[in-house]
Amino acid sequence: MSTPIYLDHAATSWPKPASVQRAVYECMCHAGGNPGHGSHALSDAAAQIVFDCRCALAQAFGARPERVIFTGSTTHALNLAIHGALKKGDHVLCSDMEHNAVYRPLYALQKRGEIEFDTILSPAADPHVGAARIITDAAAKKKPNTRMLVCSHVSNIVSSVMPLSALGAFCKRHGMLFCVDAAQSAGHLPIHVKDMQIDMLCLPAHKGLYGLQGCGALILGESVELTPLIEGGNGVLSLSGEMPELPPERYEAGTLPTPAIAGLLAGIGEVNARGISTIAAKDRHLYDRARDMLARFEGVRVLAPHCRGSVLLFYHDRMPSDALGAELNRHGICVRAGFHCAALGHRTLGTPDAGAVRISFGMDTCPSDLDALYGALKDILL
Amino acid sequence: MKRSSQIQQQNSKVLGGYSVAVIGSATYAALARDALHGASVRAEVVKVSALRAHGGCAYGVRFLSAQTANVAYVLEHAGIAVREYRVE
Repeated sequence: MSTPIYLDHAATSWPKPASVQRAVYECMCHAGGNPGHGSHALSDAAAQIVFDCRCALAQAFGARPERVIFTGSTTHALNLAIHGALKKGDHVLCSDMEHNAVYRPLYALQKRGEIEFDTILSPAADPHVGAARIITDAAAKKKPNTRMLVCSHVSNIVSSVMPLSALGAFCKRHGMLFCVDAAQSAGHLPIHVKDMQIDMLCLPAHKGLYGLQGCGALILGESVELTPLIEGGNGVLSLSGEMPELPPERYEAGTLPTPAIAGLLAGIGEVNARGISTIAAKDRHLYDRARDMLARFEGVRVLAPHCRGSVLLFYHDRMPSDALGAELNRHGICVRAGFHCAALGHRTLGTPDAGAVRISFGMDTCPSDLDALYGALKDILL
Repeated sequence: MKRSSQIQQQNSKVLGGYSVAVIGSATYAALARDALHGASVRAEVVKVSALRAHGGCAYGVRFLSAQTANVAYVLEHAGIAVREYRVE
């Protein structure tokens, strides 16, 4: 089987750099203990890897290591943030492009009558929506009981970017918590928890940071306290029935995914070596090339073509997205077709009933990958 | 070449033994170690003996007892709470 052309980095990055693969393997061979749950050489080695990764994440995102909480995924981190911070009667604002990892917890809480939420504009549907209009919209929809604004930094279906610094300042002025879903932006765009006044930053190991699936992180700003989502053992003060008072252990129960954390540590090193600004510039260059290439096909429409970044969404007037995705797969091109766990986003964009095809780029995606996509589409559509 | 345990024993005789600052979680123990290293105080993370009276297991940092005052100063200024100091 020939190597596929992988254009689904928004789902998970592939392949992982050799350093990540090595780090995971070496962790399994030499640091196979349970971190923080023992006092022998192998658990100590595992604990050091975990600590080093906390420090690396803290450095990368402008926070303190003890405020870095490992989770199973971004979705887990978002659930901890949302369920851990909100109380009955709270009102929440979120953008109109949220992934279901934000939308579904809010929807469930609203359906149970515990909270209400409203959406604010994002730049996705209208190229004239900038930071000022977003803040004006948020101010208009804010209520006295608005406790939190939660938004995706970058949408998972188009490359619309929310203005984090402006939103962080807005939330601080109004005494609201600011929670950011960085699933698509960690490793692609600069994020600084302290400077952007972010209270809760949720991110995955396995997308732009090139770690393994099954690992994510919630990075807390200063003075944020949450109700733990999961309670259980974490290796210390075992005779107490209470979770520890302080993060990160307060929010981490059970065994951490140490090999995945080792991979994440190596992946952060790879991203740092490449440079975020270099990665972001390359994403925009690939986006422009892909968008211009798709414009050559009659019947192909790119959604939100003004949003340039690592994610591009398109559909064909006559061919349903899942059929197109299946045909591309037969040509050795990996994309994602359908509705991408993005109910709100597709509603905002007005995606046709047959869904759309998403292509997304990684550090090592190159123009020849887009040439291969072009060749496959010529074969399929012409 | 002397083994490090032999060197430690010799140091202990000369410098007056080791103490442990009992901290709690592995994360804070590692932060304490790094804070002490930054202040040129040699320290290592250790698991403190699990005593029922103390609520069970905890992590701490082990250092030369002669450095106790320095350790207390550094950890206080680093914002790291110490549950107790124990002399080995």
